[in-house]
Amino acid sequence: MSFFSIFISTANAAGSPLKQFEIYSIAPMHFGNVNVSFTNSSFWMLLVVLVSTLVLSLGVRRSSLVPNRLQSISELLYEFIANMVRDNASQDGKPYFPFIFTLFIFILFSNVLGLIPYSFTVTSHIIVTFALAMVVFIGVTIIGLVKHRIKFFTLFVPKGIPLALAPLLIIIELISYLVRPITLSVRLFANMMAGHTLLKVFGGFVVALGFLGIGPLVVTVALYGLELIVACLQAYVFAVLTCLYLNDALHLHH
Amino acid sequence: MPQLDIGTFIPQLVWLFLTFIVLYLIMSRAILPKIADVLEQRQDRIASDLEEAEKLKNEAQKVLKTYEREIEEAHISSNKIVEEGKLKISSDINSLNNEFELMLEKLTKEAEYSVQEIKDKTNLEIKEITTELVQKLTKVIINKSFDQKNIKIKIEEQLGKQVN
Repeated sequence: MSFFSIFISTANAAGSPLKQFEIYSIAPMHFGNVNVSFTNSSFWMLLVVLVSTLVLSLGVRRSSLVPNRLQSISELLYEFIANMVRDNASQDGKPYFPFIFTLFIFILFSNVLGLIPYSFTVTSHIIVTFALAMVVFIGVTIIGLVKHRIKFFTLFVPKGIPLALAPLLIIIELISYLVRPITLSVRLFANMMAGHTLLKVFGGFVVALGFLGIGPLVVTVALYGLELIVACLQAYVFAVLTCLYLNDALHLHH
Repeated sequence: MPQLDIGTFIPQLVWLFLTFIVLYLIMSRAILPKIADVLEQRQDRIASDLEEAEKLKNEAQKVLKTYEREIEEAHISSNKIVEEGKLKISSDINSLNNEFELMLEKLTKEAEYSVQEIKDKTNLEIKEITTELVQKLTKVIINKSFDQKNIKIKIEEQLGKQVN
C-alpha cells in the first residue's frame, strides 16, 4: 500500500468529506402537497438572518456621531455597498440598493457562518445559489424590459459591427446573457463546496495521522484563512456582478 | 453528492425565500434607514462645522484687516504730527531769527547814529578849540591878531585836505 492510499483511507475513516453537505430534516412539515420541512439548511438560514440582524442592529442601537466599533462595521458595510451600487450602476441603481445590500449580507453571513466547525454552509448548495442568481437575472431582465421596452434587445447587438456578422454576434451575446445565472450561481457554489471539502479532507488527515498530523494542521489553518478571504470575496463578487447586470439593464451600454 | 438530491430542493427554496424576504424587510425597513440617518446626521454635522469654521476664519481675517488698517492710520497720523512739529519748530526758528536780525539792525543803527553824533560834536569842538588855540598862538608867536572867522576858514580848508 502506497503512502498516498494510506492518506485516502485515513481521510475516509474520519467520514466522507461530502457528508457535511447533507441535508436532514429537523422538523418534517408539509404545506398541502409541498414538503416544507425545517432542515439543518433552514436552521442555518434563520441563523444567518438572526446573526446579521443582530450585528447590524446592535451597531445602530445607540448610534452616536462618533461611531464605536460595532457601529463602524454596519456603517462600513453600508458605505461599501452604497459605493459599489453607485460606481457600477450609477445613481439610477439607488432604488435597488436595499436588495443588493440584503443579497450581499445574506451571502456573506452564510459563507462566514459556514466556516464555523460542524456548521452548515447554506451557499454550498447549488439550488440556493441558483435561486439567488435567478432572482437577480429575472429581476434585472424585467427592470430592463420595463425601462426600455423593445429597445432592451439592443443589448444583444454590439455597436458598430459589420452587418454580415450581426446574426452570429447576436446569438453569442444572447447565450452569454442567458448563461449569466448559471455562471453566477456555480461560481459561488463551487467555491464554497471546494473550500469546505478541502478543509474537511485536511482536517481528516490531522485526526488520522496523530503526531504527524501537525503538518496537515498547519495546512488546514492556512486554508482556513484563505477560505475566510474567499467567503468575503465571493459575497463581494456576487454583489458586484449583480450591480453590473443591473447597470446593463438600466443603461444598455456595452 | 448531497447537492444533487432533488428531494431537498423544494424545502430549501421555500426556506430561502422566506428567510431572504424577512432579511430584506428587516434591512430595508429598519436597519438601512437608521444607518443612512446616522451617516446623514454626521454629514450635516461636518458640513455645519466646516461652515462655522469658514465663518470664524472670515471674521478673523476681517479683524486682522481692521487691525492692519488702524496700524497704518496710526502710522500716517504719527508721521503727520512729526511733520507738523518739524514745520512749527522751523517756522519758530525763522521768526526768532528774523526778530533777532531786526533788533540787531535797530541797535546797530542806533549805535551808528550815536557814534556819528559824537563824531560831529567832537569835530565841532576840535574846530573851536583849534581856532582859539591858533588865535592865541599866533598872537603870542607873531603878535598878530587874526580874525577868528578867517582862521576857521583856513582850518576847514586844511581839514578838508586831510579828510580828502
